[in-house]
Amino acid sequence: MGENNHASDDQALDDYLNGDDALSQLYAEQNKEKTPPELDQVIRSAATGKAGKRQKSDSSPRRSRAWFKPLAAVATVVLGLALTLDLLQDQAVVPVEKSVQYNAPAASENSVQPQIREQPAVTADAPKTRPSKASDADKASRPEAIAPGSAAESEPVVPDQVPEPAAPARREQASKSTSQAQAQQPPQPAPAPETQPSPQAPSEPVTPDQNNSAAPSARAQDRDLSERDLILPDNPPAAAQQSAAKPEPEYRESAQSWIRHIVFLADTDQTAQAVSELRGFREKHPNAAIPAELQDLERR
Amino acid sequence: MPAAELSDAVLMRRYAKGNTAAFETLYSRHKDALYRYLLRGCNSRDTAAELFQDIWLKLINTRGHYKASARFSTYLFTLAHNRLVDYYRRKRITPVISPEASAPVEDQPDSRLARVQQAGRLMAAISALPFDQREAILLKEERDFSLDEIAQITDAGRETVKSRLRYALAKLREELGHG
Repeated sequence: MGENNHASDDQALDDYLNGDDALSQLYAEQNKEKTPPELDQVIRSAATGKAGKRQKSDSSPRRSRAWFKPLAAVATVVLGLALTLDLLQDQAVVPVEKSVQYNAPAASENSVQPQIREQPAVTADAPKTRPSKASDADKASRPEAIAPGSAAESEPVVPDQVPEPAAPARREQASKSTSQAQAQQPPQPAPAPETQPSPQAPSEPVTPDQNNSAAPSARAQDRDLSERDLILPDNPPAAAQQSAAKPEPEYRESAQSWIRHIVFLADTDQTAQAVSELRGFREKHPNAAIPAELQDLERR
Repeated sequence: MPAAELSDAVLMRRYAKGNTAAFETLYSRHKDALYRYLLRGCNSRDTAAELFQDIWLKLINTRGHYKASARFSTYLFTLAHNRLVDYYRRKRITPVISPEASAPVEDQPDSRLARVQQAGRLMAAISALPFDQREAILLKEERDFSLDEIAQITDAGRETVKSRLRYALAKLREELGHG
């Protein structure tokens, strides 16, 4: 029975595969579904568009693209060189700009030489050697009364006014610039003994305590220039700044240079001389405004 | 030689070189059979249209890689089979009888009503077949593929295809009362 069914199925399958089956005829008669026209359009347009692009690219000779690779290579090289030069210029310019902006006020404040100011790390790490006589508020206000930043940025600084850095190379530079500055100056008379600020000689070794110019230089970036201009409206000339370090009578010729000299004395722990100079200053300029820290000295 | 007399493989190679007329001939040869295979295979016009478009676009995009290792129609319907399998895998649906797969009886003349009704029942019976059996029937009916070709397209053994066809025919005959 099962074998008969299997045999009949095989026969039916053979008939079907030969195309003699009624099912196939019925299927062929009624199954005349066509592809929707919109679908035909999509496929044909896709085939035409793609083939058109392909034909276009095939028709163009390869030689017409021969320039593309060398051009791309040259463009890459030029772009790379331009970027490299740009980076190198940035590296060369930016640190100097930063150091100038950061330390320029310190130059006017304590006459720090440029070699020192160009290294913020040195100034930031410098110990505060100034005695804590003045309060923090005084410290903050003190630089405001010293000198306008514009003058400091434009004028050269006398190196021997400043305590030198510990590095010998910097001392050599300071000595060189000191000698250059002295050579440019006219000979000056000997300093009066009572006004001698007893600054450190340029060639002498510097103790860490004398590096107190570093701390004000760090504070100086927050200084308000307009306030300083109100107190000391005149930009001190370079000669006046130089004379502040040396006991020369020129520093008494203008109030600004005199104040600067007194501040320098106070900053370098030469309090007695600073008080003496301040008294002399008051005799000549009884109504002149003085920095806050000097007002403390004046009360002594 | 006119394009209509060229083989599918030649037409495909010409199309790969940019001859769009060759594609038109090729497309006209196979499009309706392929569409019907997809329509009966998934029982949905929208899905059939989507799959149909995917298949032809794939063919268009890969025409440069076509190799005449088999008949073009075998290649085309293999693509279609894979698409259908992916479709069922993705949707995780079981094929059901779809009324839209049958011709509308009301639109046919009265003289052919009985024949049309019988054809409708055939289509419904085909749609109700398991996918493997249905696909074997469709490939045989639409393109008259041999057992070996159906086995190649569906990635099955020859005897497996024979078995599927045997079961499918028995069910269809039973449905139509031809048994």
